[in-house]
Amino acid sequence: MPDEDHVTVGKAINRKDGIAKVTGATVFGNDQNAYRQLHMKSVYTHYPHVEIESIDLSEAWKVPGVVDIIVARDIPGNPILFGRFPVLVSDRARYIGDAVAAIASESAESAEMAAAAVCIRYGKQFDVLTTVDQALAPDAPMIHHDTQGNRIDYASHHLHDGNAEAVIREAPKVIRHSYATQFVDNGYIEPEAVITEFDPNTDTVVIRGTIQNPYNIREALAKVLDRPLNQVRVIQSGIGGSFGGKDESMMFIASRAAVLSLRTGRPVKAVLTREESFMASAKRHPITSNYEAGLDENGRLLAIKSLHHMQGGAYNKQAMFANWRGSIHAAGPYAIPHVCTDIHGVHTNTIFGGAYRGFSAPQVVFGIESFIDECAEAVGMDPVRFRLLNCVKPYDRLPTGQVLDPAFMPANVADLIELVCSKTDFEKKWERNRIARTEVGSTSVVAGIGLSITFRGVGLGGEGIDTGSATVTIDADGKVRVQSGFTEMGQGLSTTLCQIAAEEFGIDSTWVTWSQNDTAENMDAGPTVASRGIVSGGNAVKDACGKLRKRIEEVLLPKWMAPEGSTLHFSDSAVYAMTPDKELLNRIGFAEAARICLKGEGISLRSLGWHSPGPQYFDHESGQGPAYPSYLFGATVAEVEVDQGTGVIVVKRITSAIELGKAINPQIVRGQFIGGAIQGMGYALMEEMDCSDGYLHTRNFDDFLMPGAMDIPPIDIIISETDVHVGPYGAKGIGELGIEMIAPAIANAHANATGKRIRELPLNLERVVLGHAL
Amino acid sequence: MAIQRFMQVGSLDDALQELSVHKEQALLIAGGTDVMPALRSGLYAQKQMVIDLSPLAGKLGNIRHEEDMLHIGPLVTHSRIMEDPVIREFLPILAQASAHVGSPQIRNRGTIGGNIITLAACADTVVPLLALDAQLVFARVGGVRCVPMASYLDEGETRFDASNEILTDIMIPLPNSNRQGMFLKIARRQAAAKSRMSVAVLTTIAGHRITDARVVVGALMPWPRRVGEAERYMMGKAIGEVDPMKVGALAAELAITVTGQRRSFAYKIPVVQELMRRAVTRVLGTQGEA
Ligand SMILES: Cc1cc2nc3c(=O)[nH]c(=O)nc-3n(C[C@H](O)[C@H](O)[C@H](O)COP(=O)(O)OP(=O)(O)OC[C@H]3O[C@@H](n4cnc5c(N)ncnc54)[C@H](O)[C@@H]3O)c2cc1C
Repeated sequence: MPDEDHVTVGKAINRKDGIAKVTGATVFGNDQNAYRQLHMKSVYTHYPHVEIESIDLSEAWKVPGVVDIIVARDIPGNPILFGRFPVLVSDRARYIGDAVAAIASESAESAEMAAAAVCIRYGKQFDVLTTVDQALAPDAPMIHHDTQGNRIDYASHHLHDGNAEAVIREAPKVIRHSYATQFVDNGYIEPEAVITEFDPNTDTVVIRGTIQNPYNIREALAKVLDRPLNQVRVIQSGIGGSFGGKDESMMFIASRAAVLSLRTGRPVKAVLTREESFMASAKRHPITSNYEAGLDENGRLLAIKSLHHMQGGAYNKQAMFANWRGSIHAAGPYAIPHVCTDIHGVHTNTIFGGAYRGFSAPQVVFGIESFIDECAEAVGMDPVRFRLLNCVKPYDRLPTGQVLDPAFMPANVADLIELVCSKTDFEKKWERNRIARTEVGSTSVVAGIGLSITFRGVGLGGEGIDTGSATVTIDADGKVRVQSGFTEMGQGLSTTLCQIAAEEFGIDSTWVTWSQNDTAENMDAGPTVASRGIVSGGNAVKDACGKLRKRIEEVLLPKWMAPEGSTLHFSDSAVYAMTPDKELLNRIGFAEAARICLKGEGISLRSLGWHSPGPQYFDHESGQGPAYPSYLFGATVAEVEVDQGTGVIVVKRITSAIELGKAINPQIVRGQFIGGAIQGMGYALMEEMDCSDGYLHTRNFDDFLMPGAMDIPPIDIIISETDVHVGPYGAKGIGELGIEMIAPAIANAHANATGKRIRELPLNLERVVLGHAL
Repeated sequence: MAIQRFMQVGSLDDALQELSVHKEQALLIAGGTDVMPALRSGLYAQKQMVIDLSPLAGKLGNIRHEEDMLHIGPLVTHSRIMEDPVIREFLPILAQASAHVGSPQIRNRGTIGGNIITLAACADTVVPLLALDAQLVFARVGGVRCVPMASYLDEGETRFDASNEILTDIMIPLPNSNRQGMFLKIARRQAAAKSRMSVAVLTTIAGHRITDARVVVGALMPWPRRVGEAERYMMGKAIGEVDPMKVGALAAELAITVTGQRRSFAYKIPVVQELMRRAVTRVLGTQGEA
């Protein structure tokens, strides 16, 4: 008798891409080559904000091997991509990563030599605006002539609930502080690589590469090349990390290379150096946040008002989305009667912001969770009691008006706080550190412990339509192929989606194979972002599997003359026909069932699965409405040692409790969480990019330090599973939750250790010693 | 001009000979951990050939102990230095410094000779080598010269003739007395990061008095330096008479005299004082107990 429990879902099965990755067999972008390929190099501006008078290519053409050179006027279609990004600039450069030309040559070396031989004649040097304050100054020059005071299009968002301003004015206790974060690179180890080719047989441009979001690239290329979507085909290669980043930079190199391919009739390969990747790929946007809170005498939050400015860089295609997410999360998972959040995006002549794991959450969670600690201190409460008093509970109302119905949004954050605090003995240590710091000298090593909590909207929510696709095919031997418009880029989605198919068919997970995404094969699933792969992709896989099960049932039950009301069950690699009285009528192997359907009855065993939550009804003026179908919740404790004499902070332990619905694969969940937590540590302590004069001074990994093996402490994760009805088996996605709580937990731990508050990231050596950056 | 040739030599004489022929156009490579990133970033535009020293490891890659002198071949890697029993026992600050270089991979390839020749402001082994009175032996066609570490540093741009010379030996006198030392390094992460600052303190004690003192700072000035004033201040004093804060203050004073005020000094000056205080307190504390 088949049992009802999950067999494969919930198990730590091995990763589908694991063996290839650990044996070095994986084919990454730069491992791909094509017969007669050319190599592309881009020619970049020398100045961050400058008029371009002319581009002299004559010397570049003389370099042996050069086959073609393009400038902006050679773009056949729309030369400006979404977010105002130019494929190539012709009259004005607005940041140091702007390219004026692209060269295709027989070798990468000669392409590079030719790039160096291009002579750009510059005209007027414009003011270089490198900060939000400069860009918003009333007399600031305009980076684009048609924006509102250097504001990024569509990037202002508001969440207004109640009357925060008036309440704060009258509140017994008012607290105000500002926080700021920095540009950081996604830090994937593999830089961007692409190879483009024109296929005359099908009149199609084929793009292969390290592409996180194939449909974004397809759409951009269709515009640039002035071709229909069905004549642009994007095939994903193995990806050595992306974290949101391999999007804009892929768009640039893929579009330039594709134009060159069409002109030369030859494949064109483009690989960025690390320096180019740092300069011309998306960073996590810096956000400055001003918070104001009104509290009553008992420490209850009455109102929070906050104003945020996101620094976008010269062009931006993510601030409009990231800021919307930011607007929903900026007041944290607290039950606050009055909330007023305003967030804006601002152009500057710097490197640009885009998607990086967390997508505005790491910035605003650093702000609100540092601020909550400061509020607690101002009313004389410890951070645990203060959070327990104010955090949302089941059936509370979020400032968006959403009610936290436990069927969809468990809101067990108070339980999570208690779990991490009892596990770490938080309150005792917190109190002990506070006393200890007063008993030692100002250059001593002191211990600190800090708490932060979060909630995270699942999927895209009101950012856009959250549809997902999957195609499931059963072959005549009973083996299954899962395809999806979502991409595998190291996060483990290929494994979890295969696991879901295995569960649905009651077969061993080794029977299921994944294929890397190809836009000619799969329905547009939107971008693989926002931790949405498991919900939208997983639901689509379930949908496809359900349809196939039904087809098999419709073949087998009549064939076996099963009485009305009989059912077919899939388990142990077999199918069981059960009568309405639960008697076993017949049993055959899953492979046999597939063979009968395909070879005997001629029934198709391929199905397109689709997930759509339908359109979102959200009032973008006031920020009211069902922002997300559900939320994840989390609580994190960081324990640190701060050497006050040198500024070195050592993280000793991180302990997190997370509510994620269901862990389809607990090992992948841990991997995702730990990876995010380590990136969160880098964000908190050491990562920063210096573009303070418009030139990028942080050019490689010798200056852009990320945590190494020696920096990584034990990371304990308590997974709290809940029964919610959002994603497959209740899963809600875990890709980003790991990163966002770490920086505030560390900042709060630092404050506990030293009694001093640092309100800017990173908490580097200088800030710890001096209280400010150099 | 790009590199056209990669050459491996059979003997030191061959290497010197090739160098004397190709001069500025030749680039010596040992572990390559400084050379390769620099080559890639276009720093060696005038170089046309690389002479690989690694086949000379049999001659230039040994640690030898002769009477009161330790000879370290320039091709000895940081990994071997940090594990060598003689160095660990008699020159522990050198072992400590090598253990702080980069990561295991870098220490397995990177050599002490390369560290000395590159002479970055943050070159970790140079700090203890200066404290330990190391002598460098440079060979050229037809001769050798022996230069104390301190004068190698003081000679500035002319210190070493890369188009003619090869570093062939690093000689360090072994102590025969109650000597204690300490190397401290601060970096932005716990491995594979250049020193934001480093210090070495080395003292010899006889009858509770300091008979010899070495105080060195790294990554504070264009290259590591001894702090003469601090050494003179400590010399001859009883352990209890030394104010560790004063040692740090003298190091800070030297830095300001040498380079003038720099923006980074807002951080570095208080921190060098603190590091010196820690190193001096620890070193004298250990000796006080002995
Ligand atoms: C990731 C990373 C981390 C690092 N971390 C540190 C660190 O923490 N601390 C630190 O001090 N350094 C660090 N370094 C720098 C480097 O590893 C060291 O300086 C190392 O000792 C260099 O030795 P090498 O054998 O690799 O030198 P090479 O790169 O082979 O050579 C360096 C220079 O010395 C010359 N040279 C080498 N041998 C001789 C010789 N016998 N005679 C004459 N000239 C010679 C070469 O021509 C070249 O100019 C790091 C480097 C990297 C890449």
